Amino acid sequence: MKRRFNNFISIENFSREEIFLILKITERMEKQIRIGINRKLLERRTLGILYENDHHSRLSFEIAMKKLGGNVVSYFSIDPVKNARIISGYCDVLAVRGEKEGTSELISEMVTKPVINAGEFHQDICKIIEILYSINKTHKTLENLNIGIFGDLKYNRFLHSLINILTLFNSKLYFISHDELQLPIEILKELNQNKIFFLESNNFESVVDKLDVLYHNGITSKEFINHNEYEKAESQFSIDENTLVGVNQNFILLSSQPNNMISKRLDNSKHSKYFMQNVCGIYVRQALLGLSLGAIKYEK
Amino acid sequence: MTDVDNQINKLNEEFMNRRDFLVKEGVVIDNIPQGRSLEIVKILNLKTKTRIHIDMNLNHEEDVKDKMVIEEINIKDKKLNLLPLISQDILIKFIEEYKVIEEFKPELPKFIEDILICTNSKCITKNCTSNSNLSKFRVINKSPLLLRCVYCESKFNMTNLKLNIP
Repeated sequence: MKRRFNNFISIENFSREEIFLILKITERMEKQIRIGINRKLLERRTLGILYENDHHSRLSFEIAMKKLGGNVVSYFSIDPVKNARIISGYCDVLAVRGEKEGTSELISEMVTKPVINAGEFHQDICKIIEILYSINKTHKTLENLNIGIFGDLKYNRFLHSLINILTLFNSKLYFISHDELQLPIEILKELNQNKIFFLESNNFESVVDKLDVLYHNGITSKEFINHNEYEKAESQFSIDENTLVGVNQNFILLSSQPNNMISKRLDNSKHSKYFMQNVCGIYVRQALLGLSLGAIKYEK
Repeated sequence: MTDVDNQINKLNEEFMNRRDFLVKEGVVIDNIPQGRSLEIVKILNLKTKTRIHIDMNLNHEEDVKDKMVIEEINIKDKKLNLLPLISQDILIKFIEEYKVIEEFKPELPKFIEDILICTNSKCITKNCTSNSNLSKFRVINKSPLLLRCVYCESKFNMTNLKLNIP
């Protein structure tokens, strides 16, 4: 197996075909877990989780590993780089969630064990594959979909890398955001150069009936200087039943969790798939763990 | 200015421009942007005993440039290939026995390590306590120059980056 398939650090290291392959493996993993086989796939293997901030993604890594029969050690540290070498000696694979950008890349250079990026500010490979998998699961395709993205499009670099990946699948992109948080010009220029269809909007009403998928990332008060402005934006971009009137039959709503801007009444709607997305995240992480430990082969 | 003065100036200029042929063995670095030759000395990390001739502010086709002659032939190519970071026009000539034996434009390698500093304040290379000089950039485009930090994946052109030289 090629060395680069051991580490899962940036989604941009993977081609379209490789992403499809990972999705296929995830699908197979989901079926196997449901039937009840593969419970001892990673028996006697240990996952080390290094984290700088606590998040439910740590929990999903733990559950993913335990469901495959493996062990988990997790270690909280303000400087994960310093302790990475020591922790890597205790385990077979590392999952790193750092505050600073590039922590997992640096750690993967230092240690000989495979490293999985468990989420950084600019890059979250598990979350992106989780989103792609959820879309693929409900729509049975990734091609030619109308995908809306809401969030802090200006500064949130995770959304930039998500947009970058979606362009691989001929998606039509709709960027919904507050006027002050629209995409930077450089990225719009790049999209124009690659002849990707996109539309910018500052409200849901004008675009929501065209969408197949809406990814709602939420916004936080950090992005606004004025707190009143934030409260205004929060009420303007919150989603409830009224926002989703007139959407497509197959429309799905995905979101980062926890997200205060989505009404609790929407949780049981047939369009809301964000809890399903979270469960899919476990299968994605299981697939990545299996691949990086060599327990799953890459062949189709 | 008299004609004689003009002639002397011209001769002077010619002499300065041909000074590389007065060196028996060495490397000539030409077309350096005005005032940046000292940065090159630092990038190449030359030995203290090496003799270096630096000509600054030479007139060159309505332009002003610097020129440098280093009396050492064993400079590593790897370091010379970093010079496009200063300017894309830089030209390098190798001299042996007062003759130019090789002339080439340096080309940047795929990865540039240690010589640049990432300016993204959230990048791990800015916050890493164990290795303060850590940096690694991937060259995406050679002209116009576009670099990308391997760690934080931010894209930069040379105007947004700092050289890591003392």
